[in-house]
Amino acid sequence: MRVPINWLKELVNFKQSPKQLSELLTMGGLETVIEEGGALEVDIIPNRADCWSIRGIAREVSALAKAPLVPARSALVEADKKAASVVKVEVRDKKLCPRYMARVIENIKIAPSPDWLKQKLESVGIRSINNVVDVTNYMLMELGQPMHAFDAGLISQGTIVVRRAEAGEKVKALDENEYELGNEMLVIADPEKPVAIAGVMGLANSEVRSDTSTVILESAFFDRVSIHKTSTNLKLRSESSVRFERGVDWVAVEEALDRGAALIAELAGGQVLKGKIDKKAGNRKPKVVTLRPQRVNQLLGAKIKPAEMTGILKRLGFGIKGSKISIPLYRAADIEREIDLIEEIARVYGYHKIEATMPNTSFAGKKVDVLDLFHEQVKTILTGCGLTEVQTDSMVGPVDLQKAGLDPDDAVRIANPLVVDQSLMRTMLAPSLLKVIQHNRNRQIEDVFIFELGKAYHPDKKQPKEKWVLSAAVTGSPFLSALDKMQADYSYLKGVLENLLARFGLKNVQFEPAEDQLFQPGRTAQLKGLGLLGELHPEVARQYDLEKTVCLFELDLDALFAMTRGKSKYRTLPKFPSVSRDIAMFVPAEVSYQMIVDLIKKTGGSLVEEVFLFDRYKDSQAYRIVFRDPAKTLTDLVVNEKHQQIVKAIESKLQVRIRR
Amino acid sequence: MEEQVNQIEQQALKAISSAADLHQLEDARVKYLGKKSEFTGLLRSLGSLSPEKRPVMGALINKTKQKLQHALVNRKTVLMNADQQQKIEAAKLDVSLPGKGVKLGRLHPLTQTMHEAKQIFIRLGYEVAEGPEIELDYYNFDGLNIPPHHASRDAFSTLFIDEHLLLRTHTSPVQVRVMEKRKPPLAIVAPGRVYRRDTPDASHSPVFQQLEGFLVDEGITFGDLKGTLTEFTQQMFGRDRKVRFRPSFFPFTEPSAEVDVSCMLCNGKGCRLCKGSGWIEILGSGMIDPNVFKAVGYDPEKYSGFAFGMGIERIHMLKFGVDNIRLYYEDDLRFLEQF
Ligand SMILES: [Zn+2]
Repeated sequence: MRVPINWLKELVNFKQSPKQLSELLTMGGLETVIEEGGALEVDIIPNRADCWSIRGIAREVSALAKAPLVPARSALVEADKKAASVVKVEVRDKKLCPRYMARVIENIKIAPSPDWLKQKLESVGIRSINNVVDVTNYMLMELGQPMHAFDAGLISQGTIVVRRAEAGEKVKALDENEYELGNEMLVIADPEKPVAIAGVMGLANSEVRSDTSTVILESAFFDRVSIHKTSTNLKLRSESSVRFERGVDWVAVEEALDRGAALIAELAGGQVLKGKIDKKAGNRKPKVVTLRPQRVNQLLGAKIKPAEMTGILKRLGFGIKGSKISIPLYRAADIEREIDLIEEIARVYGYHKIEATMPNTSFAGKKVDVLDLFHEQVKTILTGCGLTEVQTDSMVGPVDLQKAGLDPDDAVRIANPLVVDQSLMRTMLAPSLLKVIQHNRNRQIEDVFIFELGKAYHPDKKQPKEKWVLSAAVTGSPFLSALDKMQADYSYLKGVLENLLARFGLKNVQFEPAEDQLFQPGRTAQLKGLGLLGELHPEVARQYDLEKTVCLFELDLDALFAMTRGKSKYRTLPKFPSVSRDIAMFVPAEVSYQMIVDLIKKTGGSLVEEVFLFDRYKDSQAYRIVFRDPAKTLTDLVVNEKHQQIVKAIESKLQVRIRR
Repeated sequence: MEEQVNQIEQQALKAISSAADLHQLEDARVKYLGKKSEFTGLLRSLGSLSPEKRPVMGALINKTKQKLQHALVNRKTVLMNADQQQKIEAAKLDVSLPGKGVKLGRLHPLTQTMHEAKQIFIRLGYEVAEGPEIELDYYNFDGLNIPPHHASRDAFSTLFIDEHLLLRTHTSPVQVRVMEKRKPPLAIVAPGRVYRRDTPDASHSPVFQQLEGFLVDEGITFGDLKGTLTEFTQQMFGRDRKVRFRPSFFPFTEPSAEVDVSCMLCNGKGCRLCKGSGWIEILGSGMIDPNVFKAVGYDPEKYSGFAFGMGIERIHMLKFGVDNIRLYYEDDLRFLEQF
């Protein structure tokens, strides 16, 4: 909010420079900067309804700078004729309009405002209109009370009815736009037609014109929530609605009416009729709250003297009777508990004066979050394997899922998305990684080795399921130097995955052939209960415009975490030497590496420490078997016998021809 | 005979010194000192000499032999050095050629910053906790003292799944979830993604990350909030940073404070980054509102505590001078590889 310093000076007698003033307000809780043209720009935090006026800021300055407020001077002279003889007010919904006040000013002459008023409004960015409307805006800015002036001649039967709109009722507001109202909205009407959208904007049919001679001046208190809803639903915000939806001052409703009426009579001639209409649902009294000074210091960790506390509250306009604090009505919207008073005391006393300490507490917890630690380990291992971590948006569009062969109907749907591209919660991470590869490839980056550890979301009964997922995608060369020509493929990423699994002690995870729409048949493996690894299906690759081989995996990280929970144990180092034997064979296509290794291990039993493939050319393969007995040195006799058993088993059970 | 010895010595020394490589040197050794050499023959013939001459000649021959062996060793050293030198010479390479091996990956910048922030609190004794991103409106709003008609609850600011489910707008619901299940003392940090219905621009992203923290026990004060967050801020931004606490408003804390750090670009003098104020806002914080305690069944007269929250993107942007928040979710490798 823009606060001209000269205007502020009329309301509070301070000596501070603009810079000191902005510093004071900022550190008192209202962020303030100095603007050009001798004004402050004050950022009003949402709970401080009372600060939406120059006087509200003046009160803050008074409390923070210990500067006295200047009382307002107003001399209202009433004519003998009664206002009630000109206008009647009927409030039909007292919940949405707890207070409605009005005065009547007769025999006025509409004219331009005097220069002082024009300049005043200009200094807060309001265009001068005439000597009546300008007065309402003046009061609005100075006191924060929105008012509206109707041409009495345009109010049918001199009767104002405050009622709910009829559903579908159409009106033309002062901004020249037409609005369709709902019956939850409040209107000011006469017996024939609405004349204003209550608290938001007046209508063209009753506005003050150049020939207006009698005005009805409205000053009211509307329900905050109702005004907020109306303004939101109509997409219509005004200086009035902004203030009503935060809450106006019950007392200032009357003060603004009196001052406004007096000023209109002064500037436009005419007489203020006797009496004021005041329809209210009961009277509002300041709430009283007990303040315990020791509680203030206990919570703040400070040593503020009780007298200083009450001094602060007094400067803020609170009433003090011993420990009973009465809250002025202009703070009714944000202060109702002792804790609210404690905050007032703390901010005016100054946060900087409260000593910084470390908590004196013993945490029962200090428990390490193992899942969080596991995630960090996974990330670190994968970066060591040459993969860079990415983070992609958790919201995707139907197209993103369809491109990867996924069904958008399986995703959690956002009811009010900003754009279609962010209307679903991702069900898988791989499509997002493909998008990252595409993004980079479009920028001439050919070698992309990435992973993401994040959540995938799936609809469920009460609340959707959120699962931690690990996904990786690689394409191009993993090497530092382009002299190395190898390009990443299935076996490259399998190696990365094997390293990751081995790091968590999972050496015997089986990779079995699998089929999935995302992956190329014959180059895809399933890891039971964990997920899939494979090269991207050429059909999907085409969707992303990717020509080079892309290999991916996507794992259920929660399942992997569960598998790693077993504690690993120390084994003594072997005391006796091992003996190796090689077997060379011609392996038909239907026999897999895994089948051979499994059979060797099964046949060899506990004496086989390790089996590995060390040579492979076409269908010819050579395996090395490492034998070891932990209890004694193996003799050739024992090893040869075991080896022969293995050879026979391979020949007979797998129909593999051994090369001798 | 003496003359013969001298002659052999001269020839042998010449042969040794002129040997061009280890092979020629070995030939010279066999020729002059080998079993079938003239020299060995001379030694054998010593027996035929007179007893007086025998020791004299014997000494001469031995002395010559030692001299030749010495020369052989010296020459061998020289030749071996030369040979090694030649191999070294042949093995020379361009040491500036690129190395072999796989290029290391990197952690995402937000992971790095989140880790750094989290670790500071873990060292102070905090635990890590997590909560769902698709959250019930109760945990995101009501349980945090945010009234039903608060502006943040409308469909213009929050992404909804249905009437009661939404994408959490902050990590604060974790406070309520943890407090519902456990009793103080509690010291928790909760990292995670949050969502707002913001149109993306250089400083707004509909998805971003927060680190939430809170501490609850008997006798926790606003001074403790100041001490803890000053410690955090200085560990994160440097011991030379000044920290200030500015009154603010959040529905779930009271008193509330914005934490500002002295501008890292201008050192507090005022610049474009800090909009002339010399200060940069990095954290929202405050003493947990009694209504939040009541909602989880804690007695606000007995317990007090503070809570805080920070945007991880913002902290990373400030630390590295990144000027566009969208870069974090675009994952351009040229960006990621800078951190
Ligand atoms: Zn600066």
